[in-house]
Amino acid sequence: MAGKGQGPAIGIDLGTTYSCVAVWQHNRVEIIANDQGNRTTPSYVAFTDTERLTGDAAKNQVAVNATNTIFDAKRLIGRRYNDATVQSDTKLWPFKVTPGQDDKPMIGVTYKYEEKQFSAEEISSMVLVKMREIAEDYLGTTIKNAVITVPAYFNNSQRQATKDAGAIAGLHVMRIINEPTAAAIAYGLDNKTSSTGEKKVLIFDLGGGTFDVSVLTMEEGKFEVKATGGDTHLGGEDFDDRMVNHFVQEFKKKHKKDISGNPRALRRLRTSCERAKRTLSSTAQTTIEIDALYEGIDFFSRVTRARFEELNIDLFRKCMEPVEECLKDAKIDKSDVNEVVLVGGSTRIPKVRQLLQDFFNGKELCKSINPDEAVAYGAGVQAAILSGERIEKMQDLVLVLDVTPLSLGLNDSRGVTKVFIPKNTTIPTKKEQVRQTSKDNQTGALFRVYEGESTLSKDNNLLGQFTVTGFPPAPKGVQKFNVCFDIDENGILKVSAVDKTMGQMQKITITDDKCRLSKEEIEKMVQEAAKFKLEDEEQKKKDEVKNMLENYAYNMRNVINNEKTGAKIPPANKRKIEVALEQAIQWLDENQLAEREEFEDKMKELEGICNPSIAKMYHGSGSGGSDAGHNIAELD
Amino acid sequence: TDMSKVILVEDPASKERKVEEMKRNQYILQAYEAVAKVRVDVDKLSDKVIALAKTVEIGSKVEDKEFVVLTELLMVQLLKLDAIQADGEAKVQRRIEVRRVQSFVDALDNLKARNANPFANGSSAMSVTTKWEKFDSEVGSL
Repeated sequence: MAGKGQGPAIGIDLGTTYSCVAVWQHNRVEIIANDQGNRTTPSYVAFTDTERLTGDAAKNQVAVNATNTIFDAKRLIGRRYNDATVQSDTKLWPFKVTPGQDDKPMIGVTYKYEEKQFSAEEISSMVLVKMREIAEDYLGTTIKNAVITVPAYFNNSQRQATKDAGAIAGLHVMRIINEPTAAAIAYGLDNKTSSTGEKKVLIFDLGGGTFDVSVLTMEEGKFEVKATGGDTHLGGEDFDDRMVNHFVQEFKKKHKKDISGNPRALRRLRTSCERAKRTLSSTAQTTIEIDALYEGIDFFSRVTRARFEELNIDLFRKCMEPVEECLKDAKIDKSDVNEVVLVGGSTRIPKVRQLLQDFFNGKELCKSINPDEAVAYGAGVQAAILSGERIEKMQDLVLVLDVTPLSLGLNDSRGVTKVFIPKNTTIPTKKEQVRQTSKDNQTGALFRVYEGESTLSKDNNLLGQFTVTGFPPAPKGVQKFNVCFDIDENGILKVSAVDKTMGQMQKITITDDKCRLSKEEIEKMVQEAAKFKLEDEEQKKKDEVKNMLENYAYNMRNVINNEKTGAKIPPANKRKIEVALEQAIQWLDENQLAEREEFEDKMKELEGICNPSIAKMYHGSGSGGSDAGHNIAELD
Repeated sequence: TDMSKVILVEDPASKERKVEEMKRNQYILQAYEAVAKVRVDVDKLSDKVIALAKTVEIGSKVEDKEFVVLTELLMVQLLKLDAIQADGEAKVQRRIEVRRVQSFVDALDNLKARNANPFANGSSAMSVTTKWEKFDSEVGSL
């Protein structure tokens, strides 16, 4: 539970390409806009020669700094470098990813002329800091507590790594919850508690680049993820691609020219296509009009919604397959589904909605909450509940319970995973089993912890391992261990083995695999994060002082050059001021990267020269007499 | 008289046409203003292109990044222009502005190529001349 004086708790949807933050306020959820007025913020961090940028500022400069602009950290977090998905994703990124210690993927950037390496946790922590600051700016208070969402299919190490990212960001992560669970909570508010008994919900989440389907059941505040599916690389950008290709072909036909080798023309076309796609969600047709697209040729074309649908129909249909599979995995008939919830910007596409609605025999879809914000919305509700906020509409939903997404167990001597905790067990949970030696005179025992649904351990995911040694030789089966799997409310697993026969405790606990950051590492990163923040602030202050100096110099030059005002300054002083101003302006041109103190010194120096004459002029006590008094207004 | 009246009724269709036309004018005006706004930004960027051209002209080495950043800032303006829906005179203005931005982008491409190729720019030739002059003067002093 959140302590007093820590400000309200926030909910953060930490997305692959965009993130969103929500807070419970005035008895409702508020989605908080960032300093650019946007309600979602790019999950981007950029490093330049002079500063670190996050959010919109980072994304806006990607074209000039691609190798040092990091996104998609969510595709790396809690994974190993050798992971097949990491291997294939790395090929698509303009930034560098290399294997670090224990096969942990490390992102390499050049920051302030220095080579630096960051883990996905650190990059995500910088995005989280940005989201926290957005909330702090809005609420005018510091924030400590947060609920962060993750995909339902995230395994233990991905969840733990996300929690670590929160810790590095200086947040107390009250809970990690599943994205589909959060979306269901968001709608739970609207639907109140009209129904009794178990409710079956399908969450259809089609974003910019990822597609997730989840089937949940909910009963008395307990959410169970029954099945998940989807496509990690399918979304709005693919639909844009199709339209771009269509118009490239059209251009070829009309003008006999191929624009596909011209990145600038393609970028203009893509931007226009994305806009057209959005327009077509609300109108039946729109135009694409690009002046001098290629070799001076103007491009003009119409596109109807029907055409857009035709271009993408195979992709839209492909989106329905995981829905069917997911229901099959969950052993739920589609007619038994109570609610179908839309999440992600691409669910605004009418054809996608129609296909989904047809699949569910015309069932109304939950679409009243902005699909870009539904996950953060639910996280915001959950954060409020966890911090003890009284939410009248939701008294029944005391606490949301999550479940384990995958079965967890130990490898046995035949290479089979012996399940301790079956998938979809409500967490927190604790399961104990007694295990015994499998060979005569065995003096050491290896405990390998796996997650997954396969019988054979080699087909499951190894989470970690540890050994217990030093027990006396004995026939097989004599030496016994009490093995305990313990999962806390964040879905984080601890495994311990206690040597029973020795009568004494030989206990080893593992919290996660080796990829996991140690407490010391996190502590170091927290300090580093603080250092980065200081540097960012210093840069901001420096920019302010530099701008002040620049403005002062140029304003002063205007005053001097102005016929009326300039004439009021004695020529000798005027000359002195002119020289000082020219010098200062030249100095500014050559010293854009000077230190803050230098700017401040320069400012003082300049003020020392200019202010006495200017003050005299204002007060009319100098040469000008009464005339100076009349002209005061003109100076501004 | 037969008590009949002549009632003057405003033709709703014509009224609608008038509203349509007003809307259209309003729409053109808005587009016109949007283009003008971009023009102000492009003017500022054009100053920078000229300054950069001068630097390259005199043979000073410029960092590649300067060209890349300036090109990107111009590309952003180009995308802004593409987002303006325009008709009539506003459309003409938009097209003029697009061509202007493109001419700066092309100029930057050329400058960048010149900057990258030391044999094509004047700097090496000039330094050679200086050396020869120095040599001459040394000869002269003997």
